[in-house]
Amino acid sequence: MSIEILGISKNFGSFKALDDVTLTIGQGELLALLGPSGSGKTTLLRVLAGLELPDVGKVQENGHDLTALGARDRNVGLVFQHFALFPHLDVFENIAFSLRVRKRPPAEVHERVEELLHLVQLEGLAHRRPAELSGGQRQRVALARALAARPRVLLLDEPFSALDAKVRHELRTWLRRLHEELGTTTVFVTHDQDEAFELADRVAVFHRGRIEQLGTPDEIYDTPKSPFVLDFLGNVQWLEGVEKGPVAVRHRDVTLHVDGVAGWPARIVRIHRTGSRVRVDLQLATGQLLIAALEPPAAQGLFVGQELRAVAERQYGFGA
Amino acid sequence: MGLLTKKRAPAAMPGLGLSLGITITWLSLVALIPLSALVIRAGSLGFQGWLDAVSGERVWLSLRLSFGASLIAAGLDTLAGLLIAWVLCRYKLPFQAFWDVLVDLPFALPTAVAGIALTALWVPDGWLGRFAAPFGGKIAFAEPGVIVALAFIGLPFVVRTVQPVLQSAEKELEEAAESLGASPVQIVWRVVLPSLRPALLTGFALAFARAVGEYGSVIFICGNIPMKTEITPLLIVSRLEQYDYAGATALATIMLAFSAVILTILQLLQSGRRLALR
Repeated sequence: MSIEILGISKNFGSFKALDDVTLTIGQGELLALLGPSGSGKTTLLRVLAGLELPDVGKVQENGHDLTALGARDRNVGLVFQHFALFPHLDVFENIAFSLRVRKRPPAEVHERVEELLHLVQLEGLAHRRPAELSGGQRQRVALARALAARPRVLLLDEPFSALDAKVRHELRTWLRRLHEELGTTTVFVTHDQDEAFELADRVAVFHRGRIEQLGTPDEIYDTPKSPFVLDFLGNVQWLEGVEKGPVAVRHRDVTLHVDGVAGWPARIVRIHRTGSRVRVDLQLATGQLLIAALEPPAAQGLFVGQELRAVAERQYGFGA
Repeated sequence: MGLLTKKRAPAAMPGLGLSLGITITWLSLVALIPLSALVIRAGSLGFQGWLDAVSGERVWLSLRLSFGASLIAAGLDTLAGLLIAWVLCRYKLPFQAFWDVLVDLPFALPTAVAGIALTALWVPDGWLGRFAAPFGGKIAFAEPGVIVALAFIGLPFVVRTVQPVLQSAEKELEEAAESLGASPVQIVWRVVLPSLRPALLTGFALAFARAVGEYGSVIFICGNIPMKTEITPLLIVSRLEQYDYAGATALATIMLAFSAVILTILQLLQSGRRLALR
């Protein structure tokens, strides 16, 4: 079951939220929509959910047009950034909601909810209210609720951004496992590239309502198609005047050579530890600052004020 | 866990002693002391005298009308108020500000003016009364007139308590319900109304309390026929006019007790869900 998005545009007043977006989502795929806020990724998710009607274009499932179908009839599982759990219902009834509104027999509802509680590891909390749960637990309830009616697609809108870093990491790993177990086609929106790369089979990078680049995490990281994609992935800087035209260099691609002759002459102005790497700030002969993110052994023996040569193992020029 | 300990927990708030002192003093001055004086005054009758003052069919019928009509009026207000708040919040109306101001008007109008206006409307040949007349329905100078007047003055309480809750309601909850397959009717019943429940109960309680104490507008529209359309506040006033102060306060204590019981029940209904959690 694949989902085809064909030439979708959506304007809010004069703002182009989506500008002629075409994309095919494969059966069982885990796709990330990555981009800064206002880039159109959430709007596309809402179009997929049936909450937003596109101005132009179609959403199809195996060639079958879904565009005019409202959210109610699409049977998609939707998970919101701020969970959107029903505060007056307990965990059990939140998860059961989609089955209750479909008037399923109570025995069936009970069985399915128990199954989901087990899946999201919240068996003991069936009769708690959302207000009595932690953020991570709430998000798991939201996920179980979205899965209850066996949706054809699972859509997640910034699912982890309201959680703290540790829980976020745990939930990512857990979601990846869950996806492998269930095989539900899943689309999630995020502005966090680490999250997109860690979870997704493919990533669509959004910029100003368009898909700037679509590919596997490797493809996008290794061959960014535009300055925007490269910039958005971060830890990169643009240098003028060291080569012909402006070039971009990733911090981790810079190596330092104490007695080399090739490379750009540079002087160390600052050294400090950033998590697993050592960050070295260098001043180039042109006066520009260059940052090198080194493996700790490579930084041994370096000192502030040292004159050496910096080599960019890889440069991105974009034909300029 | 008791509610009291829960409320006392944030003791770190500065000026707790002072603010608590002011609250208690103020509540005592405007509510507790006058009400105690009322009970003490009624107590001067002695138990038998008090019992005589509050028994009799005329008293009983007036109490039944006062509380019955107030409950019905508050119920009508709750339904109409919910609808009005919904329309004001969810639709873009032409002259939105005008309709919004209109809701508050019953607050500002002297109740006697309201009574006179409503009477003129609902007498058998009035603008609205003429539609009820062919069906044998009498509104003004009959029990329904009491309900009409009480519903009029109580309406803003419901609208103004429900409106802010509805306005701040998360759109996402309704979208979540929709994507989970709920129909518009199911969304209203299963998601929107439960979230409005506390506000609706509060609005009902306020409209009810206001209706029980209402005097000015009712006496114009109901005709004040003893044993039939006589509300308790009117009975109290007529005792006062006969210099029967103790008799009047005795009646007032009964009203006070009834109101306290009903308002306490409403309060319990509201906190019931919260208590059930613990």
